[in-house]
Amino acid sequence: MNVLLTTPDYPPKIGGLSTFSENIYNVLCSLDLKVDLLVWNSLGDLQHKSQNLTDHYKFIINIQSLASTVLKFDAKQINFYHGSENLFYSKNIFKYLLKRIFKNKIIKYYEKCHTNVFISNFTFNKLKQYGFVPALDRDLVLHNNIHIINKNYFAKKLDNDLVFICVARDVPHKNMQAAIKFSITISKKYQKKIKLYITSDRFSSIDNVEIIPIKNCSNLELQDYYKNSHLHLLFSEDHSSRGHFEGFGLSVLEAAQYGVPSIVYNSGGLNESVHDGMTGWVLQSLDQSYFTSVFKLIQKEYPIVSKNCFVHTQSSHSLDIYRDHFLRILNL
Amino acid sequence: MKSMAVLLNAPNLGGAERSIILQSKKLIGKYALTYYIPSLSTLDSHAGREHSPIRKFIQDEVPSAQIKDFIYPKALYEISRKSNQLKLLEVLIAFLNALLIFRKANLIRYDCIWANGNKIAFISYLYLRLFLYRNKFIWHFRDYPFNKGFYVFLWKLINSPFLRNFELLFIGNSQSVCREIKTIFPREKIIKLYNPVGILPKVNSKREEKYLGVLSMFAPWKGIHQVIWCCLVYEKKLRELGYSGLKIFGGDIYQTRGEHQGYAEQLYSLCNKYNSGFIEFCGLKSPHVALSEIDVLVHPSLRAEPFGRVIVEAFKEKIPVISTGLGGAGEIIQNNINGLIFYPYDYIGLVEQIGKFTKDKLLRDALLDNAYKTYQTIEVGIDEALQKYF
Repeated sequence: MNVLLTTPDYPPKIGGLSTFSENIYNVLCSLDLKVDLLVWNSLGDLQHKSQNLTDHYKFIINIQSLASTVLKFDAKQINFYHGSENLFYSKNIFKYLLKRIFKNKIIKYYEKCHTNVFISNFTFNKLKQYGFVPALDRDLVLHNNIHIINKNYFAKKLDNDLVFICVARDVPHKNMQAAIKFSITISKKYQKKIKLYITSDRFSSIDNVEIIPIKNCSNLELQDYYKNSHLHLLFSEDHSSRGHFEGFGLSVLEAAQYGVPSIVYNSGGLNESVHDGMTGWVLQSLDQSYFTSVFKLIQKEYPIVSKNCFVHTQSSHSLDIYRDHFLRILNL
Repeated sequence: MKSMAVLLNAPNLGGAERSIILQSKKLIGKYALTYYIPSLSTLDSHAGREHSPIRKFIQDEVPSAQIKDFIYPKALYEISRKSNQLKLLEVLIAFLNALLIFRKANLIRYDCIWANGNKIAFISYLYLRLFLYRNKFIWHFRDYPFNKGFYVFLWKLINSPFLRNFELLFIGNSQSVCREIKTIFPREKIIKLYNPVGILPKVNSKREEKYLGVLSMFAPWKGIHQVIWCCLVYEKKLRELGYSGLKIFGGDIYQTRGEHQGYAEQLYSLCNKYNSGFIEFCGLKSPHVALSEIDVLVHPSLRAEPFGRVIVEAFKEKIPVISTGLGGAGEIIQNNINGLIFYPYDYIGLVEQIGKFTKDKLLRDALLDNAYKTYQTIEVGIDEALQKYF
């Protein structure tokens, strides 16, 4: 069976979407499908490149859903929906107006697809808010999955000095300063030395909190940082009105495969990637007093939650899950 | 003997209706009970009402009770079902109409009025204030109170002591619901009253094949679609575990607009699209009949469940339960103690939990024993609460 996979991001380009695309490509290839990969820079570029293709695909899989609005093939289209790309927002007023004008038309394209895969229920609900009419025989919530590298669990304790990690793009809605605030608060209250690995270079160490920028580290190095950490911090906020929210929080899984549970803020799809009190902790507030009270609980629950998040990620978030689902969706 | 009017919230025999009938039944001897069943249309035939499942259930469970019908304006009934076509004027007229209906029923003569659910409770509460009721009014929340938009104003109105001369008692059907009520009515008396199961007649079900089951009304938040999808993707694994199929009991019992609309059709369409012989829709059946036809109950709600009555019914019938354990359901079911938990949309996680119950007989027996004890504790708790507060 011939399948076309379209994506705006693919290695060597780095980033979450690029890794996601590579994972899907590998899964499709493992199913003995003939997969053509089309990497595009803009919708115009996609339209242009697609003209050189012959219409012999049974399925077209779009890593970014907007692709389905320009591809004029008879093939059944499967779209992935990650989050912010469907907020119909742009800082550029001209682009913003265009997106708003074409919103209904774009949504109609989505409604005609064979399968729409949402990475979280939050993302699904967000699109519904814009007028997307759900159909559960077509729309599917399938949480993110990762290529599991680590298979062994090593128990850690929160007794002595602590190591936190915060992996995110340094953009406003990711709210990285909250990770700094959290670290300082815990360090002061519990008299602990804290090392914080953070994918940003705009913060410097304060008192007992040593901040180590890991912005440009390689994937291999990143795995080591995860492995050496106790807790992963991700306090993204919902900036939907400004074009951004956290669709799922892939780094939660990347940390969890090493038994590193995440502490997240209750926004976007983060309460779907972290099961509160079971595989991590979902904070309802970013106040300092709340941080200190919740950390008491975290210390108590840490051993079991650390083990839980490791086991859960290994069993429920490996690439095998995509494989199982494609077998059904593509009717193989 | 004192008199009590029990105001039912819906004309159908759902879990909420079963529960209040069984709860109020425990007050026989203290109160003479009169049940008010709402009818959504004057066009409902007399014969239809006379033979409705809800009336029959009351007659069987509480033979000494009186049963009365009243017309409940449909516009008000649908107000909480997120209809986008409701017009303010239509609601206002329906509201005035409802007040007249209550006036005609002369509800203020009762020593105690127990309203089961918000739709009926809100209207009857306003009627009782307007007509200077002086006895006891019980507002039984069957779901989490919605506290946004227009509802904020409504709750403020209820919070005001002006013209309220009667005793008010709020009931939540789980601790989780009570907590939410408390945030809105911090000064009022609120008690937790779990839902009872009652006597489930034994059904002889002789069958060799094993089935998974879902018993639920059809609404997206009930998450039936995620169980169907799980079965579509992992049918082979489930068959290897010895299951011949998934039986889905229930239906679109409220038949209203909004998010419920079309859900049943979407479920049928999903099964047809992937042409699976594994999934069977069995329609509406009594819980004891449905439970007799399954070997594992999957309770897949996607948002906090006010209670999760079917879980306790399964506990009583010694059917293993796997639940998402959200809200009130999380108070009843404890992972690896009396049941198993899976996370929403964790399709493979659900299969693994089913496998755990199936393969590990020791664990299964221990969980079922504990589940039965949980059921007994809940029943005793209900009796104690009713004796204490009524």
